[in-house]
Amino acid sequence: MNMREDLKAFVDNEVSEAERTRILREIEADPELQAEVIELRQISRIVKEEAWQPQPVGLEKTLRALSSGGANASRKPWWLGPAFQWAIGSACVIVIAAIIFPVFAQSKESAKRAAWISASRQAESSDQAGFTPSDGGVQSPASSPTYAGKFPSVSKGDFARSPSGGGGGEMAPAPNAEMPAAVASPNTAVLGTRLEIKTAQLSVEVEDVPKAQSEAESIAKAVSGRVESSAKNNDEGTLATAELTLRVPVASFPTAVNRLRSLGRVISDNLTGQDVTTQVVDVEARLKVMRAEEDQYVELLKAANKVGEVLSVRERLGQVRQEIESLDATRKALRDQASESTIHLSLSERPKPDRPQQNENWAEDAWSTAVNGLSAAGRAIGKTLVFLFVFSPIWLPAVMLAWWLVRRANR
Amino acid sequence: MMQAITDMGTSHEIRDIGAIAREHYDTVYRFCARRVGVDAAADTAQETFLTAQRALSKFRGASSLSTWLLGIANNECRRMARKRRCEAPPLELVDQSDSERHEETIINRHALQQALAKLTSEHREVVLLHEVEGLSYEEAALVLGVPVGTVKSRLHHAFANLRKSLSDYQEGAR
Repeated sequence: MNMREDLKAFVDNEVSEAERTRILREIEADPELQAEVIELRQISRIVKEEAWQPQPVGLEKTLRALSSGGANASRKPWWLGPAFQWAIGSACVIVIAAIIFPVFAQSKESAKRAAWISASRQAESSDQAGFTPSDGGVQSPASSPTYAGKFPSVSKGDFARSPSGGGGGEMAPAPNAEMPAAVASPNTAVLGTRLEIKTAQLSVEVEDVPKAQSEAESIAKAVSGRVESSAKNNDEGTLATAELTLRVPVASFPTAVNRLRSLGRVISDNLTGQDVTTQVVDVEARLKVMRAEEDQYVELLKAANKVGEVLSVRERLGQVRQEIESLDATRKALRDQASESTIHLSLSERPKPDRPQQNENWAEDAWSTAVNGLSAAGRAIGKTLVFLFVFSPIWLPAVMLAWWLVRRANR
Repeated sequence: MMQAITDMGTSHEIRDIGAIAREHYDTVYRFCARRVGVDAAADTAQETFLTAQRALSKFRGASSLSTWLLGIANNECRRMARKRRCEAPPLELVDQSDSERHEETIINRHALQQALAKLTSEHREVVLLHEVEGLSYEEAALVLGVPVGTVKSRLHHAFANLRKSLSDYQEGAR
């Protein structure tokens, strides 16, 4: 009942004036309440007056402890302080994480690294054998000496001797396991220089596309290059663009690329280099072998007596000559590509900064930006939670230990 | 008799912990002695002032200095009681040998002593703070960190229990 609950507060003078008047009125009307008030007052007075009054001791000791800044008086050593324990706990977690994390990270990274190391070792060993290591692993050294396997039975030495002219029925050159050094180990030294097909993909944003296009053409001419193709698109209402393919001499490739970059703002820039030295060496070696074979077949044809022999030798000669043509074309193409580098240049007009319609959708932009931000934040939080969960065997014991130490210290 | 706790100063006036200790030590010591016993009272009072020394810069004068100190002492007492696993001593009454006064009351002191010993710790706390230390409801609420209504309700129930114990005693005596 409210009235009785308020009675103690009334006795203690802890009620508002309005309540006081109300309670007084009720007390006056009820003798039982009057007796209760008297009893409450008496209990209160006795407790107040007769409560045991302990005699204070230890003021001096406290003052001494205070004057020394509480350093020696505090019975709790500093290393039991919660802050220190939290610091120790966090340090443990960080150290354990620092040890464990690279182990996980390595499992992915080590595979890549191992592959890279073995690739570079292979390249080294093939280099020692006379190969030039290919750029970016485009050319596998293991696949290069294919000619040795394909043409094991023909070699320069055999043809030099060329003894089998009247051998009667011997249709193929004699097999010889020994490969001449020049063929077996093609070297850049054979070709003089390293052959590399260099390609650049440049995307540049410019103020004036036609002007930049003519500038690009003049740059190509200045470095004794040429324009292989040039196309422009200048439709009404769209931003002007132009596509150019430039061929420049290998030596002036870096100069040309740098000058083209300075046309405007570079949006993307991709330079690739493919080492074709071994390919060219391969093709040329095969060509040499095929020509020698051709000579030998010509000799055989001269010596042939029977119609059947003539026909079969001629057929084989035709095949060899066809192959020679094909190899020669490949060699020319590779040398041509390597002698001149290719630059694919994309020119685009810079968008005009004052576009009023962008401002009209500011609310929509802000909304989508905010929504994207929220979802990104959600993803980040989710990722963090997943990480925390997965790594909980590492940090949870440390945190629990720290928490337990704090609890024990505070006790 | 317990002297009324006076607000001797706010954070703006008193910053010397030594002076604060001299001023309030007796109050804090008595409060601690009634809460954790004489044996642990001096240590608890000292801890209270050491804590106050560390936290003095944070005292903004929202309550009176004595209330603030008793709030710290209350926490220190709880910690000490937990640490030493000591039971709070009963709220003792000391016979004033004032026979005139005894006659004025209808309360049996022995019965009241027993009734006080039966109070729960929550009820003891509020009785101690309000009746013995003389704090208002609001100040007691600040010390205990509870709403004023809780102090009011606890006091009401504490006194209801005391009255019930007293009447049971009287009935038993008849």
